[in-house]
Amino acid sequence: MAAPKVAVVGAGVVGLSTALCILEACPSCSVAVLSEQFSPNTTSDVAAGMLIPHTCPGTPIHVQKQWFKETFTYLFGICNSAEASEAGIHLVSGWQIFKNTPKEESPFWSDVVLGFRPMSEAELQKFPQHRFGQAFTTLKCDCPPYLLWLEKRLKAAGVQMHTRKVSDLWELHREYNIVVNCAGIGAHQLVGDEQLFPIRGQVLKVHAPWVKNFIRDGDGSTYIYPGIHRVTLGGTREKHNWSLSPHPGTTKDIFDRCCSLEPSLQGAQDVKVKVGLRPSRQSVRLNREVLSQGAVKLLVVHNYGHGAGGFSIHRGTAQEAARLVGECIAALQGSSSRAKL
Amino acid sequence: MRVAVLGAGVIGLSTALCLHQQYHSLLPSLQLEVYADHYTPNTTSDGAAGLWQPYVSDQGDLQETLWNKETFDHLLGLLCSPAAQDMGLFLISGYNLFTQPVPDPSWKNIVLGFRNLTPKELELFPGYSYGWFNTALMLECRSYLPWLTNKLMQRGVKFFHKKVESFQEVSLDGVEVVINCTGMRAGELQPDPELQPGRGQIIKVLAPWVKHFIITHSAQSGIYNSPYIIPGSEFTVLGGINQRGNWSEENSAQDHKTIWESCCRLLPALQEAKVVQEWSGLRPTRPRVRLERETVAHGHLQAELPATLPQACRVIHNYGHGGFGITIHWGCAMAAARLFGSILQEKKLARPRQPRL
Repeated sequence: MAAPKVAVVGAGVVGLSTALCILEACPSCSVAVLSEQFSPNTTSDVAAGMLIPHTCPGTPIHVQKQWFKETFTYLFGICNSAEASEAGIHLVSGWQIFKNTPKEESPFWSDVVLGFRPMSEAELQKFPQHRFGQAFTTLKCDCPPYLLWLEKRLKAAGVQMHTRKVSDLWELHREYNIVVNCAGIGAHQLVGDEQLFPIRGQVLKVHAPWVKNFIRDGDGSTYIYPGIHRVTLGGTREKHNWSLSPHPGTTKDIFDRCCSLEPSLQGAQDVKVKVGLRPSRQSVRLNREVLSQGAVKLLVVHNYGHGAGGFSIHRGTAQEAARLVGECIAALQGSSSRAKL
Repeated sequence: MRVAVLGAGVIGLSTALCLHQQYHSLLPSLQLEVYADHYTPNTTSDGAAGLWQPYVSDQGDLQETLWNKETFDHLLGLLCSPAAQDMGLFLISGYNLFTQPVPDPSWKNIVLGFRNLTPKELELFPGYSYGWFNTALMLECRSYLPWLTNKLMQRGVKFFHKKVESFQEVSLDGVEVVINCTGMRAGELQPDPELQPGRGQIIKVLAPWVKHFIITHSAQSGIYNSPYIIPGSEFTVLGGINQRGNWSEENSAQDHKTIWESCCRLLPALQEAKVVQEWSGLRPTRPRVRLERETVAHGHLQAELPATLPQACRVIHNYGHGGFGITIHWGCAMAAARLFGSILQEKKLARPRQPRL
């Protein structure tokens, strides 16, 4: 059979990394990326891109850990290479602080990040309202650079990028054999997944280049993440809020909360406000599906619903999705050879 | 009472401020004057990256360790104040790398979160098998020196653009105490064979993705003669040159090559960094910091002149801070201020008694 034609829907971090993994696993595939939005207008562009996992209630811990480890290892390799700055990948150290000591002092990912240990008394003095903390070094994927770097590698391998709003996966059945659904929050409308809902996040991206360490409140509500050119200040977690418009009252609230953790932020310049909708779900939807009308089939792989933890597990889920695409190709080849009999 | 501070690097300006803070209310007649031929951004201090970090092996000098600690604690206390940004003061974490295990440094409990590197962290740095991680402070002189200058001007301290050729010159003019913070050129005022240049060269680049300092060490090469990378608030400093006895302040093409190649080997992504500036300077290197009093009579250089001699010029020496001037500056400024206090005590004793009426 001719090289399978694969369409990846969605050009955020999940879509682009999935396309790349498909190519790596199946170099003979013809892959195209279709998306309504490309960087710098994806949900991924709003996120800080910090590799700190969020615990997903519906996925076994060992699977989440596996995905995180694969992602961390992959990015660690890029970080060490000459491409690090172009890819927007860099190491960052800092502290996760708690007002109340958490039940588990060491999260499942503590041995994946670097140098994880409890904060010393002297370190905690900088945060008088917090009584416990963890210090570690992790990676950050700056966007747009990381997405643009992924796009560049895809284009170099012959992948076509199409700006296109897909309203229904079935509309692709004539042009493609396999569709990979990485539509993120768009999957709510695209495949009618009622289990998928937004958790709205508003952030500020500010110029404060003297901030070299990250600070995250363990309750997840307030964080300061230094990127290459800007520091991301966050945030909010508003369930079922679909609004993409910045809220000025929220901006002030985020700024005040961050300044109480890092007073020098008072001097931050050029504040840009952004909003993203975390594509939240009990667990990531990572499975195969066959759509058919009569004798016509369209094989689908879903890879969406990463919520707040997209960057932390993107490569791991992309590789799993690529594996599922491999199964689809095998199924296609099986049925095509059966057709020859 | 006229007091002249010679030198306007980090040592001169901080000593002047410390002195004024402690004594201006006790001594209303105190008139502080700063004399220097180089001001920021043209001092040796301006060339330094600004990282607070003492040398990794001390000669057992507890006094200097104490001054380092006083400086760190003083700066840490200012970190949350609004002044921090104007001072160029911020926290920074990073790595010290070695090719073999070494004893912990004298400053391990001064900095925050000091620990050894894990095997996985060492994978980041091929060729290095041992190391430390800690959080320390940056104090960028291109902000700190102007901040000190403003504070001094607000306090009425006068500044003179002038190279003072001898202690005699200022003392004959009526200055009663001289604070000698002349750094590398202290030998021109009074010969000091122990004071030698430690020539450094640095390349300033744009590499905003670098968030950690990385300092390598080599027992054979000596301190700061091995590559280091220090990210500032705007630029990243690449260095690794420390040439004893070399007085040249010209940038060397060979040293540029050494710095560039060794730093790019350490962090391959630096190849994409844009070079912004190159600079050379002389670390005023001495086996120990010279921080002591001396009484100098006109034309004579004697340490043991009677303190009661009113025309004698008291000198407080505060120079020879090598590659750790920023690290130790405040502790030394306070020590110099204490020496000044002892001079004031003696002068009170020397004042003739007022006759009772």
